[in-house]
Amino acid sequence: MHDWQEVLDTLVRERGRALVGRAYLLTGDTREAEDLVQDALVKVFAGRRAAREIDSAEAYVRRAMHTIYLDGFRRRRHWATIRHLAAVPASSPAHGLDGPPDELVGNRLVLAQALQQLTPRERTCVVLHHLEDLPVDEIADLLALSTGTVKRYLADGRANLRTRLGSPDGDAPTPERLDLIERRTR
Amino acid sequence: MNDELHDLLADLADTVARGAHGLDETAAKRVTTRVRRRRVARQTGTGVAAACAVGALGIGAAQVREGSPSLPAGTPGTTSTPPSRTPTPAPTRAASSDPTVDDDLSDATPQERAAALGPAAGIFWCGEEVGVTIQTRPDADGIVLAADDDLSMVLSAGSSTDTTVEVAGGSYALVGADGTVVGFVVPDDDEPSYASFTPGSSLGLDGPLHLVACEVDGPETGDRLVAWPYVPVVLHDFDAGTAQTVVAIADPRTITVP
Repeated sequence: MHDWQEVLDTLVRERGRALVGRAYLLTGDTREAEDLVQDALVKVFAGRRAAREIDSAEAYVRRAMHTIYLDGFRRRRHWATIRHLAAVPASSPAHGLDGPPDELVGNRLVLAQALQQLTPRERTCVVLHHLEDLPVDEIADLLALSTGTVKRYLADGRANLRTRLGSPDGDAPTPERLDLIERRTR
Repeated sequence: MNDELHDLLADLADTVARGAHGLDETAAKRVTTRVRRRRVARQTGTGVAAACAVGALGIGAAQVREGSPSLPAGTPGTTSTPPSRTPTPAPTRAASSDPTVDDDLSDATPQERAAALGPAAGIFWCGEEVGVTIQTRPDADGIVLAADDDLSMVLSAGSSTDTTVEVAGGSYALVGADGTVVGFVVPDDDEPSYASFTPGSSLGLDGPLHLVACEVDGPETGDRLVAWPYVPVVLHDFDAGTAQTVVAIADPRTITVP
């Protein structure tokens, strides 16, 4: 077994679920999140300089998820639509493809829904900056955007989140009010 | 970290992760296969070009010629073709043994080798037209392929064949109404097996199971497509220490996506 394959196996086994959780913030759908993680793993490990340590490999995969997501991974997947020829199509889950996992209730559900109301670029910038701790200039490099554009996406994304988290739709469970603190952009 | 949004996002991601199945064994295997295929494709680029150049000088015309009009590609919308038990000999030279084989290629399956070499050889490739001429080449040891209605295939040895073959399950390339490849039907498991081929012997191949569309909005249920049966085969000459990859192709037929 090659070095890259051992790292890949370990990464999938030990960090696969965590990666799916991160990817969910972008996709809003667990199945699409799994697909996104798979695409990111392929991109990283098929590269010329595949990471040979778990931590660095995970970091590469997490960044790759964002670029693939913004590149429209769903449109470019050639091996995405796979189904068993003899199988009866699986019934759709009650909540539909875009529904949240059952575990999401209360504030988490509201946040998941609020994230999905952001544009893909707003969502990506917010996650990269506030979760992955990337400074603005690194986000700009990663996504091939100007720093000013990234700052605008961050400001718009935060404003939209604040609005939606502060005044949820009528049918949604009433959350506690979440006071988001604007973080100084670097 | 003093950032409420960070905490909220991390909490949401962790909650989803706890409830997620992660990547199961099948998904993990699929990732590994895709990685290996891409690495093989990247690393064979130079080797394929070199092999083609040598082939043009020493062997002559390739067996599969792009754009050849001699074989109709079938007409979607017509009734299904009858079972074709009479095989059309179609070993197709994809590439000779690659002098630049590295550690990633050394354990590549025939499917991976063919997937890597196919595009360069002008064989089935997503979004591209199919134009092949089926001929028999002596350097393919007379290998012939036959496919049945149940999608199973039989690989047969010619009258002078005496070699060891390495082969996985058979596949179908699916061609849409516009004449371009829109997908594939591939085996569930592409693990290769070895068989000794002597004159008149044959080898049954597992029927393919999975429809793999080139695009997300690819073939729909009820679509009629022209299906080209094919299987990559590695011909081994252990005495000489060489291996040659060929792609055996049978007559196309029209199928309906179930």
